[in-house]
Amino acid sequence: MRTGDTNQPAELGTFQSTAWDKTGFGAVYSEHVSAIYYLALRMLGNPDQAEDATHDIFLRAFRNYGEFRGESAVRTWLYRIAINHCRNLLKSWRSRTMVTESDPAFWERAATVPDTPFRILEMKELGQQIQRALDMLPEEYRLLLLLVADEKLSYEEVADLTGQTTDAVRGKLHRARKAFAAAFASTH
Amino acid sequence: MEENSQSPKTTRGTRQEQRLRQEETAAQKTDAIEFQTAEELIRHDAKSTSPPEGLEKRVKESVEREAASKRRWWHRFLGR
Repeated sequence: MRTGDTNQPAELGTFQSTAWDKTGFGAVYSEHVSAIYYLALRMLGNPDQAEDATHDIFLRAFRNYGEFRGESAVRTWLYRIAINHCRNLLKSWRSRTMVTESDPAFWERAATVPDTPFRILEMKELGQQIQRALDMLPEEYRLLLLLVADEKLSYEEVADLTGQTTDAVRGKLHRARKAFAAAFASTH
Repeated sequence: MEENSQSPKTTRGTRQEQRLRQEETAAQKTDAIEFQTAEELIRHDAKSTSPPEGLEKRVKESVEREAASKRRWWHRFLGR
């Protein structure tokens, strides 16, 4: 899965090409930046912070690129770095207010939301509406929905990234969908 | 008198407003997009969200700086 396998010569100094091209890291960046930026954006809820975080995530990935053994897909490896980075940032900020499982009224309402499709009339502020809904969810549900939304990840990979079994992912996904629907409805 | 002379205008205005509202509603009905699940909705949002333009340049510069400092280390190590 790894793109390019020529990072050693570049590190030792092949003078004509840049490390970006020579190591194949530029191609890795191009292929995965949209997914990583989107995860950071919706995890952190702020475009500037998401940009900084994406920069730091890829720089950290480059530092460890030589040690990447290809045991997992590059995307999963990048997601792991991104999740850890965003979690650390959120932990250090502690400034955002989120509704958690301790809010019983919210979760009672969430459980009763029928499984109806989301009908979107106004696309202009959809991103902000989704952000507000995701912000209301516990981090576990938010992350689960964001990862499952990426069609390139299998349930096994999502389970691996979130440290649980695939059965647990499926069960929690059902609850996460209900919670998101309730949260999304409340943003109207 | 004044009231009577304005009446047809008001009626026509009201009809036009009604027609516009009906057209808007019809357009909204046509333009509405349905998403079956939360993931579908999020996937659509992800596809329409692009990373900032200057980000690639920033990451590339940092990567090149990082690689250059590694090269300097290797050169010192090899005595070149």
